[in-house]
Amino acid sequence: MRRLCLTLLIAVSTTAMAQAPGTQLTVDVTIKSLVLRGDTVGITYTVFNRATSRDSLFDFTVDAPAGVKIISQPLPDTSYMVLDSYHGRPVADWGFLNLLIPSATSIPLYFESVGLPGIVTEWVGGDVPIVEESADTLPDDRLAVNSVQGKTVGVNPWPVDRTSKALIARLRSLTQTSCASPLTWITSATLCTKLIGYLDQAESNRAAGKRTQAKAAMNNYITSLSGKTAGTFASGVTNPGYWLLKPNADIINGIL
Amino acid sequence: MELTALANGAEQVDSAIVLINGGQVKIVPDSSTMKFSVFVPPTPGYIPRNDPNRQILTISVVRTDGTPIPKRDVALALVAAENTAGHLHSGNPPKPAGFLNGAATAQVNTGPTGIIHTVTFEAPEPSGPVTINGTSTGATPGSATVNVGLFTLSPYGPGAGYTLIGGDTHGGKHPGNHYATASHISALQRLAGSYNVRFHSGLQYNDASLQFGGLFDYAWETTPWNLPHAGHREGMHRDLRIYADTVNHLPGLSGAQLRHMKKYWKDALGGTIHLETDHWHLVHP
Repeated sequence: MRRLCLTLLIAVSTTAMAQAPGTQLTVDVTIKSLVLRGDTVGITYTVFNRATSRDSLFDFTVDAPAGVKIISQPLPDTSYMVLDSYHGRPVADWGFLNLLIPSATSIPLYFESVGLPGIVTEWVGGDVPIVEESADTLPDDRLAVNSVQGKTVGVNPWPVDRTSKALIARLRSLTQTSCASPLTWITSATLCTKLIGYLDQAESNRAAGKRTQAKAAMNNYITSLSGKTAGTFASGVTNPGYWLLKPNADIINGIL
Repeated sequence: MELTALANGAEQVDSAIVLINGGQVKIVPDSSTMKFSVFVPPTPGYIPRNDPNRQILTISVVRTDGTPIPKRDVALALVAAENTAGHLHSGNPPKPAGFLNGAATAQVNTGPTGIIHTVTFEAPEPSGPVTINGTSTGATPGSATVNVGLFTLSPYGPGAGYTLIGGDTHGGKHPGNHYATASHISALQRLAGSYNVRFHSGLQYNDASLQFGGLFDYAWETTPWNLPHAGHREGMHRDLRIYADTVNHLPGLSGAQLRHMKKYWKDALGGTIHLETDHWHLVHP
């Protein structure tokens, strides 16, 4: 069992000032910790509703394409509500029954799924009042109409091919996506080049049967993401960038 | 050799010896049961709906041996059975019975074959039996009854986490006001269960549908056989009290309680909610 825990430093921002009810808010989604346990990933988030928001936060939803194994019910349950699906779609969903007002940060929100850390869609939305029925009523789909959409780190299903070769290729793709717009979860181009280089070294060594050298390259990859002290990230690494790439690198190191 | 004769006041064309001893009006619907029609005018607060339900009637006047008599005039009229299908109010005005070829009554002729399949019966909005009466000069009157309604609804009885209300209001003229589809009832039970576990109190469910669905004119004293219950016809609509009940000293629901119900009903169960003056209108198939 591996256990990965670090305090967040950088947040993911989801911003919108659209006119649809429930979307006048800017929320920072932060990964507090990501734990690997066997084939399962457990993630703890906090959300911060910025002071500039006009809406209080009612819903925070994270897509869960691998399904939800566990979602913790925060207490008291008269203030929080969790769901593991939305209209039949697997999601990890937290409802703030007393609303999260601007300038407030949520308590930790935890769920776990069987799979690998990956890039998923998240939605935040305010409380939309119930209105009278009318012919021009919009479709009753809160996520599509009354939410602000963004990306965060979640759990994707295990791929069919679980070999180190396939997982290195997957991490290379995730690294490239993290380095590019619109995510830019790795903000340093120099670091991006280094990270891709380490992955290419790991793959070439793996293919040549040089297991020790391959693991060393993966360790260099991990070290490049980490700060000098525990709980910090390297310069140019954001909170989601770290929690996306570091655990996936750990998984590869474990099977090399 | 073809003969022409006058039988029962109508000119009769026959191909053999004319033997007509009166006759009997026969009315045969394509189906003895049918769903009600639904019409919701474009009233503010409601989605308009124009959903007629029709079937064809076979009309004839037959001899004693069952053979049809050509060219007979037949007068048709409709009567809806009062005090049926959950409506215990009558005569203010009479219960709607639907339409025959678009009108309350119809005059038809059985034509050269003596049998026609051209009369359209349009079901009324309220459920219940409707009798189609036919008369023809010199013939014994005939009739047929069509049961109008939705016959798949189930009663939603008392249970944990909720109270059923509304059946005793408005003179108790619609006492069976908690019929719904099995899926709708299951959703209501899940909502009440979730709410009860969390808040340790119960919900107050008001009108759903009548036993066989159809128009539910709860305000029969002022708007008989009409709105305001535009929905509530197919076992998929349910009212939920959300504000304080001052008569029974019950508090209204808090913001957290309302949000819980909204989220559970819409996000988890896939239902919809509309506001109707002083209550929520829950919709779930």
